[in-house]
Amino acid sequence: MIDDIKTMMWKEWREYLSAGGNSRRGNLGVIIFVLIVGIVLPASNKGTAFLDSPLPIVLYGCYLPIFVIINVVADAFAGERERHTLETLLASRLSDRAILIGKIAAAVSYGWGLGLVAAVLGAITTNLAHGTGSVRFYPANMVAGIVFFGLATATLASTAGCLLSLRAGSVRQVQQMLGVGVMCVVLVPVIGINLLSKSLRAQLLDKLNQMGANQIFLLILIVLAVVDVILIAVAFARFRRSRLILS
Amino acid sequence: MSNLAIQAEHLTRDFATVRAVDDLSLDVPAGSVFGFLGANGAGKTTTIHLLLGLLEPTQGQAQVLGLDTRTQSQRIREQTGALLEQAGLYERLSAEENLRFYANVWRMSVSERNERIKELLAHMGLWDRRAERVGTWSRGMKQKLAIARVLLHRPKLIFLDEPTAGLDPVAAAALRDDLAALAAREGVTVFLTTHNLPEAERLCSLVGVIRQGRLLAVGSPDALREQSGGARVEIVGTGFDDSLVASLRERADIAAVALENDHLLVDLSANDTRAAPIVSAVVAAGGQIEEVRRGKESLEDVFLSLMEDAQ
Repeated sequence: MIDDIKTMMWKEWREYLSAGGNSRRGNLGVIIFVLIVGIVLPASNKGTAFLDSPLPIVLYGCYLPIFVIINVVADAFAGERERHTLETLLASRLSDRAILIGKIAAAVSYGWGLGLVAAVLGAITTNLAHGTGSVRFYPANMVAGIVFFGLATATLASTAGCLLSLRAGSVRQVQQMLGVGVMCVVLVPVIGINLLSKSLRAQLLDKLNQMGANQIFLLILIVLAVVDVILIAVAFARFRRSRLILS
Repeated sequence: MSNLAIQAEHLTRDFATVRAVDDLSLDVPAGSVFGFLGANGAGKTTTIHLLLGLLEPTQGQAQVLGLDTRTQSQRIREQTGALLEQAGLYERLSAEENLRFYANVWRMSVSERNERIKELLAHMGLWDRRAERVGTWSRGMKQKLAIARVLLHRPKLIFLDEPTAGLDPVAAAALRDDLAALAAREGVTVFLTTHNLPEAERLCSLVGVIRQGRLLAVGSPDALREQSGGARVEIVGTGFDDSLVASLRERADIAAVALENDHLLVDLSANDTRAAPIVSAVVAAGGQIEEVRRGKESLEDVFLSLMEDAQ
């Protein structure tokens, strides 16, 4: 099973690197994005405070993995269907689980890995641009935040993408649905907080202040992990070879 | 284990209101090249999907290499190879990467994999182009690579769904030659669907004819010709008229006669019927003969007559 998953991941990675999703421009876009988030943004910050702020968690643990994964994961099943390779893959000896986990794991490792690369680039850039002589890195809680948030959000984006890709008619449709999904995830809490009465909002902020940043991040991380597990279970349940072969 | 590679009993598959495969019973001996003939939409591809365990039958059952298609489908796919309607190649990857991926899928060792990839690509004349992206290749080259992929892990049984469809005649002939040579060398059972009847006649030791999901006939091409009526004699000349045709029709050794321009087409009542007495009768009736050709009815004639009978 592990060998089969690794085989599936190898193929997915080869496709990512040979085309970056759907076109050669896809790779260039990803490289430019990683350079902006990993070099330009830390360089434009003042001093080394960037390393201690929550911004790296948002950039490298959430924003970057989601952006790059949306670009490639839509291709997982919808792309294979469009290019008429899915039927042959399904007729191979690979099990349903190996195919599905291999595709999810490939997208997770791609988005998460690039997030970690950009985080290291960010630390190097901060030291080079604003260094005071001694080398500084992210504090331990920030490293843990970048690593675990990156993994959780990459898994969320990859599993949601694979799930949509299983049934979608085209790659573009999956990308559009994922884009709308990301907007909902970002906008719904903001709109929801604004819809609360002033007193409720004050109570909520008060409670969050009492919890502290670490506890808030931990809570969000637990929620993300639970959603990830649910989505993976749904993806397993919805993967039907007989349905895919007819689609 | 029996010496049957495929054994289907009353296999049926419905899609909503359409019965794609209807009560199909079929035995394919191990080591044979079986041609599954039928028009588009006859149920050929659905039959392959059923035999690979990719679809469950609505009724009936099938065993492939002694394994049940309902409960042991993954083991069936481990021991078979399939070239389905599309070549199914990853066009962004090179030819070698495509084969390497599927070699890893079938868990071949690195040394075995490299050796086998070289052997097959060299046989197909693609070794020098192994590093090129498949997306830049012609359809004929892609089909050759797809066949190499099917044979890569030395399967006992291969399914080929219209392997020469869409190829130009030269590429199709080359692919047929490669296929025949490889099948003979590797000793695999081949289940080939096609509506190219000369191709089936050339490659297959056994053929089945399917129409609207129902198997109309099965047997060797020779046996089907015999069932259909036997040998044919074509007499070219002048002086043939309706009275000659009428007199020939009364003969016991003739099944049917037709006159087309200066060609007298005589279907013999049996394969071993001698043509000489018929030629003598034509000459005696005043016919002036320039040429006599004895031939068998083509598989295409058999196929068309089966289709007409079924209608």
